Amino acid sequence: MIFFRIIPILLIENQNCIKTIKFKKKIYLGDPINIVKIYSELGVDEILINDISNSDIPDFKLLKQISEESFVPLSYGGGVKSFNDIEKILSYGYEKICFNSLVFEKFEFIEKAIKEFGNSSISISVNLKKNFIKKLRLFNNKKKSFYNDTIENHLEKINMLNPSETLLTFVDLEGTRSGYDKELISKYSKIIKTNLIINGGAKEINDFIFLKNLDISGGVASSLFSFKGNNESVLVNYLSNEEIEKINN
Amino acid sequence: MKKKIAIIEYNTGNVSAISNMLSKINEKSVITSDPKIIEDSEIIILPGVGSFDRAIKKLEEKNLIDILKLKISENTKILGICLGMQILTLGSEEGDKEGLKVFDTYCKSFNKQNSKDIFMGWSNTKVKKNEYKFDFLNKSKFYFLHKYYFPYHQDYTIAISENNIEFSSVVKKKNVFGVQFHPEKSHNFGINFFKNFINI
Repeated sequence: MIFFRIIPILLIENQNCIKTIKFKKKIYLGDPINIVKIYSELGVDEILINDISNSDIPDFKLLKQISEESFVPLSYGGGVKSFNDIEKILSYGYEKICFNSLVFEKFEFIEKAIKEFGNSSISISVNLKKNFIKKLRLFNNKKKSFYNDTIENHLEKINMLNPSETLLTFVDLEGTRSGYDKELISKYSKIIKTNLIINGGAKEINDFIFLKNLDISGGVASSLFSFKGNNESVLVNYLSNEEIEKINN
Repeated sequence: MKKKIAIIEYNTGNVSAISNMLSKINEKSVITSDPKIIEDSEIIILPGVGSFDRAIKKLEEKNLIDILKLKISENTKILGICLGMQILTLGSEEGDKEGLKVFDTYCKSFNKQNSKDIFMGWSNTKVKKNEYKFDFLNKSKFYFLHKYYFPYHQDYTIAISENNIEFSSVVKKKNVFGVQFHPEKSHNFGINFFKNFINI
């Protein structure tokens, strides 16, 4: 059997690790190399790294330094545009390369990348956010705009690509620690045929148990594992062995 | 004397993760695609991320097939990791290329009907052969990420894992070992695996 994964996510901007709230407000967390080292020592299930800097190319030097500190699986997303980029990052010891906007902009490239590097090396991330009339839409975080495509259509396209997993982020809940939108998660988990992981709103271990019971592969969180108390002081942490056992039993 | 360990570099991923983990247990390794260094090594680690045909193609491009076959026949201890294990078989449903033919079997694809077709995450392993050296596998969990699998084989399978069906997670034929999981990404269980493997 496969265990449910609990995955810390790190957002990097200009070589700093930051925490966003609803992808807007930014809090400085520290040096990404150091934070990955701590997560690795804590034995987390996996680490997602997403570089949101306004740069055209991935920060290869930093990515290499980060991977040298990790003895747990790593996924990377942000600015990857060519087979060369993918090959380089995989060679540093990253397991998966995650794509978001290129799925909209260069679908054929993603198809080819999956063929070249194997389904298991590629994952796809999707941001969902409510628009001004509270309708949930596909969201482009870099451009702060909505895509025209419907969510259902886009998810079906991802099913066709069959990547290793799909990361669904609920932007309105991101960084809030206010609990999941269980209705929406149930709805979209029925459409997605790949492994699915959920980001946005994780508050407590019962949230992860909820996901596991829906046969979802993992829960992604950052606030939960970055702060002590009420978003006041930074403290990189993870679940205890007892909590992990509780989720998996 | 420390053993000379060569990690084969052929542009298919995760070489540095392996050397990092080995240095954590005070083993020195070289990342190389130089046949001379490979020839001189006592332990060979063959990683692999990506697709079957691409891996074979890259080995061909780097002229590594002959030296690997030679070392296999010379009884050098070899460990194939993930796709690095799968390419030691006759071939795979994933591609058209021939494997290195150490293991007399073909890799198959998980069937989407009755299991997740990409097996990803942490799983336990269960020893199928009564060899005490591998007992530690019963108390370990490892990180897996694959779509194709090495079917259970009476002669080769040391341990299995399950994705509705049982598949081989550790295999062995004389001096050649293979693991489907990624020990280099399996934290303390991976460290323990490498320690055991080097001393077997």
